[in-house]
Amino acid sequence: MGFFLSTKIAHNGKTRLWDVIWQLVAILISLSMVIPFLWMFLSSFKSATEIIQIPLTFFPRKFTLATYQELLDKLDFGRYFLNSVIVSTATTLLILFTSSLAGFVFAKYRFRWKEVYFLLILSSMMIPFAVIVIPLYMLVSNLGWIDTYAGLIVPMCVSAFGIFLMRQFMEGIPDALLEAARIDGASDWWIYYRVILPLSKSAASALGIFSFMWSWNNLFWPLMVTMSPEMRTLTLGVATLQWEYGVRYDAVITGAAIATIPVIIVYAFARRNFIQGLTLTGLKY
Amino acid sequence: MRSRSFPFLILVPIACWYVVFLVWPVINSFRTSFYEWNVIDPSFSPFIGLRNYIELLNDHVFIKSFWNTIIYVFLKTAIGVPLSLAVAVLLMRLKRGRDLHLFFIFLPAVCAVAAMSVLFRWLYQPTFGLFNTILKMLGLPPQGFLSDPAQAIYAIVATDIWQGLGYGTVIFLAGLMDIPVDFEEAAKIDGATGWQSFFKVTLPLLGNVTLFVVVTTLIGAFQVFDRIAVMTNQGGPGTSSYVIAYFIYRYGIFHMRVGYATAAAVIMFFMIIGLTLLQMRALKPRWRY
Repeated sequence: MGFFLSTKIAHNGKTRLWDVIWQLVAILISLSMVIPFLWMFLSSFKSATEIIQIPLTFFPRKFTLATYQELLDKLDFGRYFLNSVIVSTATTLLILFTSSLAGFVFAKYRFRWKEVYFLLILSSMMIPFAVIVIPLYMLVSNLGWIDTYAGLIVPMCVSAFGIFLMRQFMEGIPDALLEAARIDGASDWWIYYRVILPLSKSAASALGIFSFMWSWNNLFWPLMVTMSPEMRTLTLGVATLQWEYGVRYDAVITGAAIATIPVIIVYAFARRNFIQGLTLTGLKY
Repeated sequence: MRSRSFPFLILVPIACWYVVFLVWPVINSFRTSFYEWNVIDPSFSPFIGLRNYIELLNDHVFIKSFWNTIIYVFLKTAIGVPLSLAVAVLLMRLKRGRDLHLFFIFLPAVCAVAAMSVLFRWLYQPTFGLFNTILKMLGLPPQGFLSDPAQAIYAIVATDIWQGLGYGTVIFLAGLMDIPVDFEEAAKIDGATGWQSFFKVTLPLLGNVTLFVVVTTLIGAFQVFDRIAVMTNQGGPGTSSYVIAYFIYRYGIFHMRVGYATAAAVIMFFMIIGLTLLQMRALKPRWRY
């Protein structure tokens, strides 16, 4: 059809027609991505009765913040949010610290069995979490870490992916810079802190953003390791809401909205880092 | 001076972490799988050899989990990867708005699976969910979606494809941008059509990137847990949407059959090793370009 129409126009016009068609297809795809979110946010302002009404309403007939208030007051979503911030921040900082140090050592030092160690760390990426989850749970409970921040953070604080990414990146830093510092008598720590870290900012920020997102969105481990509601993370809070108040569609949708808003805000401000992070890892594989 | 001890100062604590939080749990998974593990007092756990494994192979819930996992991984990869490649190619063609489209397409990928599962569970709701409302408007028969045992797992994998689309798209797009324009120009001069130049020039050059997307998608889909846990009532309807990760969780934690659950974990471990070897063999010739 498109070709049929375009034969009557000059070559230039033909490409322009296809540009319009591709643009329309792209808009359709983008809409299919955004509409569920719009639907979620609009519905989070609807009342409990309006949300299950037939026929459905797209815009809320009456804007109400009652559900938000209920979740924050009665169900402690504020506390869940705080827990998520604490756990995700701590996990991210620890992953950044361990990954940059290990990446530095693997990129810039020579020692025996280096590649074997590295391969061992890499191969751990393959092991599904479900394979170790039960022994890990038993271990953490023997340590007395059930329902603690330590239990939520420590088993997640080293990332093979992070070590791999930082090594890849740091190998690109010229040795001459390190040698110059060494001749001046700089220690390993000084070089790490003053030379390597400032030059690895782009990789580190990509890794940081991914670790944070991953930790924020994690459900399996917080589900295992927390017992009391006060220790729940936001993501677990939303899942629990679904399990306990499944028929209260207004509550679960508002819960999902609360959990999603911070992620979208971070994404909107740092989307370059998100996308750069993915391409850094994907292409240097 | 380059100190000799520095690498070890760094790597020894990290190695210790790996031994405690990864190697030891893996070994323990193997060990407990040979016991009828007693949660209350582990010293009263009888060694039962391979009996957990034999029971698993005769357990219809486990068989269901096994096949559901295979179906899930296959559909997610076979539909999700080509779709994200197609979207990346489409975005490459756009003269304007590429960044904005990419922003929207990647948006679901940054959100929590649990939150998106809650959202889709509601959209799939049979009586007042959005999808059935649309079907009714179009004059089509309403579907059961998650409440229909024959549809549940497919409805779930569909949400995964939707949410994961942007991930593959971003990586493919970066790969496409890395291909020098000359190659496609040369193909065009040699008289290749658009399709020919795509399949004979672009796709082989993307081999490396495709491999990466396929491997990460497979490994991710293989571990599906959050979606099942949130979108279904305990793997339901009945046991129709059980997958292996969920099976391990249910039996290990809820039914407290630790030995039985870890036996399933060991099977999962070997499945992923088999899968990885298979991929390496199948895709090795195209590893580098």
